[in-house]
Amino acid sequence: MTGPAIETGAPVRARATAEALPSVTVPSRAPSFLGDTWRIARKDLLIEFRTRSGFLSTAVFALIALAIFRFSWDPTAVNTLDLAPGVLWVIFTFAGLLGLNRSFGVEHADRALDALLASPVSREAIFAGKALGNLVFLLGVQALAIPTLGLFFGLPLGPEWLMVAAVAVLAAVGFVAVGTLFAAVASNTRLAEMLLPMLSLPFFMPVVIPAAQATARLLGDQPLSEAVPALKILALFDIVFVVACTLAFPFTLEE
Amino acid sequence: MILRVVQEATELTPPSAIITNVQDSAPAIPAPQGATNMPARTGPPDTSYYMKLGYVAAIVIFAAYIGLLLKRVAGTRRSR
Amino acid sequence: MTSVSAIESRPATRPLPMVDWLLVLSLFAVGGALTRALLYTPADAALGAVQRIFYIHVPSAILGMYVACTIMAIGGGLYLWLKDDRLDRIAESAAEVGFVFLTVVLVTGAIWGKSSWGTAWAWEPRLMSALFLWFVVLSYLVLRDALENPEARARLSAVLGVLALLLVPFIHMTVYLFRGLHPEPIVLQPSKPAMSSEMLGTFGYAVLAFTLLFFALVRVRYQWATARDARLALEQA
Repeated sequence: MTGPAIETGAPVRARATAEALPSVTVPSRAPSFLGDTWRIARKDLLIEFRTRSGFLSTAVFALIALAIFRFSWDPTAVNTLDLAPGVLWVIFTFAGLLGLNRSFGVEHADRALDALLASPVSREAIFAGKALGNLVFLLGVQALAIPTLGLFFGLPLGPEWLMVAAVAVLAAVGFVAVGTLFAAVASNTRLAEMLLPMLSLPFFMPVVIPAAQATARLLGDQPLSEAVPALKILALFDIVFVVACTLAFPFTLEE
Repeated sequence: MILRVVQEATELTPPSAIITNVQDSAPAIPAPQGATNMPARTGPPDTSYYMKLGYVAAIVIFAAYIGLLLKRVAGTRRSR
Repeated sequence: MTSVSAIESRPATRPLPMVDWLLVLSLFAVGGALTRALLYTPADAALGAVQRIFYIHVPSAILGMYVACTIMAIGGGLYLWLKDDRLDRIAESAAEVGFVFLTVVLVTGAIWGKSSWGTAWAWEPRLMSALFLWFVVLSYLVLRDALENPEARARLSAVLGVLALLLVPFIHMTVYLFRGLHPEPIVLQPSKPAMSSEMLGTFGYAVLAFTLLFFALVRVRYQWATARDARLALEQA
């Protein structure tokens, strides 16, 4: 399945750099950070969209895991609302790791990363673009998994699901920032797929625990103020680690 | 007011109900045997087993690491 | 290799001493502190003899959690700035020795907990912080092991070391949030027992002795890393 990814990836990448080239020759249009970020993210998402193998396998993983948890759940022993948030966030963590592994694997496949580094795109923009692509990927998985959770666990529909979606986005931002950075670190090793969970799981802990807790409070129809401490940690984590990982990312690439 | 009086009355313990001498039918528990180098204690539980376990565990971990370091140093000496 | 490693390869031509005097001195200091703790310091009135684990547990926690992790992060951060191999070796040595101290903290803590709390492990903030820090340092060491190119190893592990320092406050916040909503049935906080002056004196000795041991171990580990890197540079030249 990696074959088509490389074949479709190369022309897209070539176009991305071709678009970036005039920005060097024509001084009137300076290379913009946001523009570069968008081009990198679009390139990754195009590869993803054309092959669909990564997203499909991750989505299938998430749905199967939800089904397994639902089957192994004893409703007389554990309350739905005690179980569902934890299940949801454990699944997001592992589904997210599956997506992150691909993020730099694609670039290392035919040393496409070298071409990316040779292009006049700042390294921070490469990071932001990669992270944006991963964010869209993870939000896609969440958009599929959250309604399925409600369906499988028989949770009532209500306006609190909008807040759950907001928590999911808030958590996904911090998750993706840290995960993209460690995916870049791990991609330098031969054991990338095995090393990434080990490196990133301790860092996901301050994302996953508050997110699961906020989800539990919201679905439990408790007042919003109950979820605020967890949301504060998530927001602070997002700010600190988005900045720190963007600054640290250039160091993960060869000079 | 009446409630308060009733409450005080129920909270008051008659002097006859206060137990001064504990009568225990169980046989006397022998005093815990501490390590020989410790003063005889009566109050605290005898936890010297866990103390020894903790000290031995810590010393073993440190010794193992020092052993590893010595092995590495010896390795660099041998190779030259 | 940079010019720094060329300078560093000079002392490595001298073989490393098999007996490191500072390490021997620190071992005598630790032995003295533990002897004082076992023989000349009264046992705790409530917890009994097991309280003497305190003289190993707390100094190890201070060194493993705070000193080692700070050196690991600062060494890594300075390496990214100055690109001096020695800084990487300092960070590497502090992380490895810190891992040993953290392991001692977890093991002695479990034994003490089994005696005083009745359970070897409780999901309590301090324990969780120590455990996650142990995981982070372990992943730092595994990452170093997985990277073969010395330059990439130093650079990438420095990134992890710096981020680890940012992670620590978040772990603390999260575990306190976790606890705030799930109150523990057991009172675990050993709320600063008013120590007698003898206990305080022994504790002071123990902190000094273990600090000496920590830096002696880091020094030996650092010297070994220097010799290893010099030999590697010689083989590649």
